[in-house]
Amino acid sequence: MTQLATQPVSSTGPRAPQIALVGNPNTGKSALFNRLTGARQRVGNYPGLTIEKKVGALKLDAMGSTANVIDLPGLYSLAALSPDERVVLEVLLGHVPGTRRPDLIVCVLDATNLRRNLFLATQVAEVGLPMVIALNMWDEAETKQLRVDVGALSARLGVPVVATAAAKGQGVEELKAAMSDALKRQPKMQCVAWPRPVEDAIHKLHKGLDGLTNRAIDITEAQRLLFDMESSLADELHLSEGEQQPLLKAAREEIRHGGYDPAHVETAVRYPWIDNLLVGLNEPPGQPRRGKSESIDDLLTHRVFGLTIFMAVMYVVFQSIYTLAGPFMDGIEYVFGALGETVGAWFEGSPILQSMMVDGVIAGVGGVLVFLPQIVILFFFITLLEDVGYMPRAAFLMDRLFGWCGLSGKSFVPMLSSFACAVPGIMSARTLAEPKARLTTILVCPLMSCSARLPVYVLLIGAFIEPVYGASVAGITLFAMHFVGLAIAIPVAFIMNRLVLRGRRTPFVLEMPPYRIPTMRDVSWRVYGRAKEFVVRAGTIIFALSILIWAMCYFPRSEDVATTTTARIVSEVATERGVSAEAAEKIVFGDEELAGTLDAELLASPDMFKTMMQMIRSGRAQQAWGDGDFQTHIEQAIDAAYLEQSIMGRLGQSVQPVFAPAGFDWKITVGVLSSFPAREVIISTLGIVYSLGADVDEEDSGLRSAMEASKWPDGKPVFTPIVAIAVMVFFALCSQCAATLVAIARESNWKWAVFSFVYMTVLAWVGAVVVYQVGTAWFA
Amino acid sequence: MPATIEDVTEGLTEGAKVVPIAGVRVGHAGRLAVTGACDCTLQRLMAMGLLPGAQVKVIRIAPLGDPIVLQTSGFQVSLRKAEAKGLAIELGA
Repeated sequence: MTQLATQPVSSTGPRAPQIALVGNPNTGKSALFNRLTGARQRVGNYPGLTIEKKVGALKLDAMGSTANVIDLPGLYSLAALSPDERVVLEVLLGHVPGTRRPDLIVCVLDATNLRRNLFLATQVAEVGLPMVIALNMWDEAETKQLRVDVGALSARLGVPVVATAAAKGQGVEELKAAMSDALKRQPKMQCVAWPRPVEDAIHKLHKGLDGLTNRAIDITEAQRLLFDMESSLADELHLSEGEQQPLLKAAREEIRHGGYDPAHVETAVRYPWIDNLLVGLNEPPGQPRRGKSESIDDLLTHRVFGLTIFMAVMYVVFQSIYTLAGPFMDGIEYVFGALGETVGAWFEGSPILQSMMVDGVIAGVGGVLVFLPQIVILFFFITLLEDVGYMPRAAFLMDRLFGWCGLSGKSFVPMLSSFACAVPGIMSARTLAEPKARLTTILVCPLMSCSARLPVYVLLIGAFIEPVYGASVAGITLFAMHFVGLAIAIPVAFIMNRLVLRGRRTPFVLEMPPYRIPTMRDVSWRVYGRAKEFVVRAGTIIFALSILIWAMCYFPRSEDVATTTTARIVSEVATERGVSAEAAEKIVFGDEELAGTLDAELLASPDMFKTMMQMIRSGRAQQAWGDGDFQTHIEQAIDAAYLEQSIMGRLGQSVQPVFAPAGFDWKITVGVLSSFPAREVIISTLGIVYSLGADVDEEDSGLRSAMEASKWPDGKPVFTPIVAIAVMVFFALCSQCAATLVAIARESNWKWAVFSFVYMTVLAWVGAVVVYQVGTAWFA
Repeated sequence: MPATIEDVTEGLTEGAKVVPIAGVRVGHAGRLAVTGACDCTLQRLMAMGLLPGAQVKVIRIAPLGDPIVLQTSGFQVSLRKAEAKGLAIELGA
């Protein structure tokens, strides 16, 4: 290959250097990243992985030269147990597609915990890239009167060392200068000297593995395979047990012969090397004194106060997303409603364009943005709690409660948030470091009863439970519906964890960092990054799905439907009022004088009056021809006919037999299908199918009475209390929410989104069928 | 089967009481001893600087009995009892 083929052509300008930030968790790495890149950052994903990829542009100097900065996930060791940790080594070796191998590594070390932080630095040094060390938390080290001789440390390590306090912005300019200089001088960190037998074993293993893996492996990777008792690297390299075991065994045997325990050799060599390096540079931390953090912990992890405070904190978080977000969501809905009316007026002449703009585009964009208030509020709290250091304590308190079924103590926040909305809940599962527990949490989050299910419950309970059984039973039913999902989630988590999810378990080894005062600057940056990512990445897909569902409800649309429906209504009126077709047409098309005369005649006839009163009582009058506004009635009837004829309507009618065992008729089935973008859509769909128009809400008495009056062809009512409960159970368990599925796909991959949809739909169907069948048998 | 206390001989102080980490009460401290097979939990702890022989103290047990928090030089780490079954503390050593 020629030089030209590997290097970009010079006309595109000199390529910007790539700089990677590496460090332990809780070292203030993210704060440093924010300081370095500011507004010029974006959040994405590594291809095929569920790991957040944070990149940003850094202005290196006044001359305007820039560099790309990648903020790699925080980790303690390159011994990769989770994908998050594996990606660090992969990026450093240049094995990640779409991510160029870094030209420089900035190793972020916590100055208050230098010995432990240097362990990772010694591993990273062996990758062979130029390095600069940022000695962060310098202010905290000064407060604790820990002294580090920066100059001597730099001299012994052979790389520039800059003291920083990223949260306060101290030392950032000096660090930039050091980075700029290091890109030219390429300083490399001193490496650990391995004992002869270890060195030999690594090289032999590296040679032996040649040709067995799916790609050429690096010496660092051979070292990892040798040292780590359970490595996720072997899976990545497609190494079979049979192929690697004899080689590993031989290499480990060689180390043992040299007098070292293979499982301990890495720490047994690196830590003494570090201790030797630090002699005279770093006052060894004395016997740990009880600090403020310990006193706070005495309270926050106390068996009574700790749990009470935890509940109180979670209550505030939940109430905020549930209540505080409300006005903002209403505001967004109002603005988009008004926008729809305004824009709708512009397209008065073209019904297709009008409907596409109003019901498709504007409703779709509104449907994306309406999630923003909850996402912003939830992530504000989560970031705040993370930065303060409360999250590890919450995990510590809750781990026992959730750990046994495969979840984690940290699953609490995503699951609780999902009672308001699963979308921010699923996004917040990122705070879980253990991949298996994270995926389990993501998969059960949509089972929590979110606020979008509430309108469905209110409509059905208000129409079929409350009038029959009274307010207290209605209240219990509402509570039970919220409980169903949670009760199902626990066995589901257990089964997923045991049977469905493969891969290694990650041990629960959680550092309890000292409490720190968060800076609003860092909190707001991270909230902004996540909100932006949702709108850009998830929003576009949710929007596309909304357009698709709109089209399925709109097409095909032929004018015949309108003509036939009008003719049907005219003949209905003619029969019901006992007048000629011409007279009926006059009534229908608004000849009020004639209508008045006829109504007077009608009321004069006692039989007819009786029928009218019966119809009014049964609620059918309003549907049939109650208030005399035939124009609206005809339009609504035409809309109902259009929906019945549309792809969605036909789909509903052909799928109905599947839902028949749950007692659903085709109208409910259409409601179920068309609510795929969002559960609450069923209300307006039912409004349309019952010829009341889309502008009904769950409290609408017209919709309730129309549903009560809805009959099977044999005259039995469609809705009984049992059917109402079956529908509610279906909605409690189904995954009728495109935004949730997109969020699952974003946080894991499409395979899991499809899996969620299938398992939840099956669960919902089984739930509804069981309720209907058992309920019917019981009351029969 | 995890090794029992009787199996432990390597590098222990004579006469010290070796207690599996799950049985150590809050406030008790001593030297960390490895009694079980070296798995990923143990390797992770060692990478974090909790080497055999290090001074550790059990400073907290969660309200529901698990996990626990260990204090070592410079930092605190939380572990599940089941995952730390290969660890013991030589009390008073």
